[in-house]
Amino acid sequence: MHTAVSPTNERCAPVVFTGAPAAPTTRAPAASSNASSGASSSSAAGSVPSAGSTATAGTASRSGATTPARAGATSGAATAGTIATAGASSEGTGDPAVGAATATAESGEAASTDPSAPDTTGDPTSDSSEVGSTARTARTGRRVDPDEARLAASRAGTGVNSSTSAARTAGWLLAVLGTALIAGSAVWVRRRGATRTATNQPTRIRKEPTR
Amino acid sequence: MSSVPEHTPRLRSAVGMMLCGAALTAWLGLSPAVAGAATPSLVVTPTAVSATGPTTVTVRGSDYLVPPHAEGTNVAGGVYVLFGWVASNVAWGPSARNAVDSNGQFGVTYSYPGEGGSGETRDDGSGSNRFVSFTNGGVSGSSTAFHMDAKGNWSTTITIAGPVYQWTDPGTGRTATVDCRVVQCGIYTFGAHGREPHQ
Repeated sequence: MHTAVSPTNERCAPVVFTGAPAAPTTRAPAASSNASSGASSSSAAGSVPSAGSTATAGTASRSGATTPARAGATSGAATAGTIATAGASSEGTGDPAVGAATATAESGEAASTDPSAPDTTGDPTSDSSEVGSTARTARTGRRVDPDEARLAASRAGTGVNSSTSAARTAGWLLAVLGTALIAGSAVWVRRRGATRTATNQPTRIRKEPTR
Repeated sequence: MSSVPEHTPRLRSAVGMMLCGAALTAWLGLSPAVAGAATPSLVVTPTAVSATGPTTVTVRGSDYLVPPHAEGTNVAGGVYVLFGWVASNVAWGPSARNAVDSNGQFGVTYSYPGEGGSGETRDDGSGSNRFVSFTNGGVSGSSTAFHMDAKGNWSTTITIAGPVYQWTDPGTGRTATVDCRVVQCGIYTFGAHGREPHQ
């Protein structure tokens, strides 16, 4: 369809978008195919990956991303409940594309978006096809170092650290409240018992001996 | 244009310009004086566009290669002017297609919004892309309002809808989303037959 009249007339000039930085949680319209993943990196270069992309130009490695994948997987291992937060922009939504790319861009770290994706990065941790691989372990949350998880999540900008902190704070509050409740209950029971003892005293009718 | 790693729009712009080497040298007025053949240049104004809404930019081409033709006659063809992404450090244009690698393939070394290869995608009336004909008459010239002069100079406008676009390769059914805040996008041109519907 495209007629190559002459390579001489194939020219380009860059433009730069300003006014709104790419946010990690930004979702591209109908980015369904992106969930496909890391294939992205090298596939359809320059684009957020789609399923079955053919590896080429290799310029899109930035849109791939291990970072979000790790964030999602490891946060789950690090602290229960944080996976929802951390993985929200990756596996959670099934739409890791833009967020992943952005996170990667911000961190300058290439990676693969979905641990279940084929390993195009050369990083074994991104290939879940290997049974028992690190990726699988990460997904089940068994062998993940919490520190690494927090670090990865922090890099990915997923806010896992804050979530963990919040969870810890909530735990402390629950503990304090529980203790107070138990103590209060004990006091109440004791007082009630005392009252009951006092009021339930049988009235002693002193029978005066008949004289 | 490329997806080279960068962290700021300014840096991305700078790198993009470097990668568009020929365009950059021309932009800076440093076009080498090659005997008998000037190097085409492409200039976009402004280069900074909104990430939150559509922006219309002016695109000027200079010294584009026009097929030899007698004065007063018309020739078919021209160039497409598109907004999108092209690969860096490779022959990205359609003229680079070959049987060995994927250079010159839509969706591989370049992409633009919509369905690659379809005439509708490159509809001249939408403003999101243009067809500029070599001459102002004939089959090609009559299908667009934008023409080159005898020296290959031309000007048009392009409306960039936003930083994110999707493309579809009708041949494979493959689709993808491009976020131009992450990869370097821009305006680019390549040759066209110029026959209806601009194919």
